[in-house]
Amino acid sequence: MKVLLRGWWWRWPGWLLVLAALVWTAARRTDPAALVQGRPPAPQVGFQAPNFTLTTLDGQTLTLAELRGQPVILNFWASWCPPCKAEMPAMQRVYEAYRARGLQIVAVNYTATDPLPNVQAFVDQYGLTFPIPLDQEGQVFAAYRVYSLPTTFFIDADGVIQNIVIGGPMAEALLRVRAEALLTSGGK
Amino acid sequence: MLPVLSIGPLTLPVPGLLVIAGVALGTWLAEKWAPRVGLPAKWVSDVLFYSLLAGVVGARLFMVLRTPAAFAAAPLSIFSLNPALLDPLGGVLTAVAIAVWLAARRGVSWLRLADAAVPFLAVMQITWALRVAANGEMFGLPTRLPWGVNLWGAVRHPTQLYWAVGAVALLAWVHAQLNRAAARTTPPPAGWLFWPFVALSAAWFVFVAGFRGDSPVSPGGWRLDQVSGLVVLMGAAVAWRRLQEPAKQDDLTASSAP
Repeated sequence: MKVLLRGWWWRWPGWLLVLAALVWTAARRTDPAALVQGRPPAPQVGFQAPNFTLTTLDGQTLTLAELRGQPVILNFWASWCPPCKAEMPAMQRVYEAYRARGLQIVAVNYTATDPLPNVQAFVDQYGLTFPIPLDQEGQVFAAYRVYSLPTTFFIDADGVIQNIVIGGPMAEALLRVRAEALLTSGGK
Repeated sequence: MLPVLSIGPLTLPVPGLLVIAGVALGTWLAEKWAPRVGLPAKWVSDVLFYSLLAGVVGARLFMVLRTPAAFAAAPLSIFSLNPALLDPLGGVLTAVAIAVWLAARRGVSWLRLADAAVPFLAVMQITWALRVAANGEMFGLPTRLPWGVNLWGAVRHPTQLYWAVGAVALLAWVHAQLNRAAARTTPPPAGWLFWPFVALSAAWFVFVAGFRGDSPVSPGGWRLDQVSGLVVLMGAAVAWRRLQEPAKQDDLTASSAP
């Protein structure tokens, strides 16, 4: 007994910490499916992107869920927002560069605060060719908890949010890095 | 969850502000407590400043090297202020390399410098935990406990707050250890504060990660964040244990203050 009490393990409690951590890690093993099971759609990384249906600037109907199978860059913007103006040309260039590989860009306009003539003038000025859904009531902005403009969600082909960038303007390289990640490995 | 703070027309990114506040407070505290580790306050403050600066530059350079095609298509992005274009691992490696080089140039053991940096690391750990809370990241598993928080469609363990509480307790422990060191007549061996701090931080992280609802999980069901925390804990514990050996207690020459 005296020998045991004289040992370093008695004087140094660190080994208890390691042992406890080992036991806890083993005890908290989990099924990966169990972690995501029952998760409701939410505007957060690792969750299904909340679905919506809106009318676009050119009168079409766009439902996000129908884009499943393609990675989507979902951008929230308004024509009165300076960083949105700064990043839109890069958004258009990235759309042109990656469109053929299946990347979709959807730029939801905050029409509740942005008169339609201003939206149209903005789209014409920057020559935007991707869909511009109009959020007339602001319900999609609320569902995505958009606190700041611009806000951009990077959604993989399974409809799962992989990255979020709040604020801007985003550098073109960042858009390209994220687009490439979505296209090559599902963004994961 | 509070990703942005709106004050009139101003919209401030809370996670970014927390990191800036952590850097400022952590540097100030490390400078204030540096003499208790036996190092000059101004020198520790300078090393932290230059290491952080180098870390930011290194993080961007690593990002450019990792994704050259994206920067070749948009070269001006190299100078972008987007923090998302920083490679965290590259930043940490560069900052550590510069800190070790500055220590070697002055003839100070890197472990002694690491001891002096512990207050900075302890503050950063707190602000980082609050940063992930502001972003709604690192969320917990659903729970019925009364302190559960409603987040992402369920009442969940407030894992970010668990982490923050532990980090505050660790800072208090660091303060107590430094007070004890100040009262000693002989300086403790280099690493006396750093290794236990790393071990305790890793142990707390392993504990908190067990409640996470967003852990990456290996095919065998192991939570990878717990496993990586465990590896860090074991490495730090071995180094901590070695400090207890009598030979190390006498080995103060290599780690003494300049």
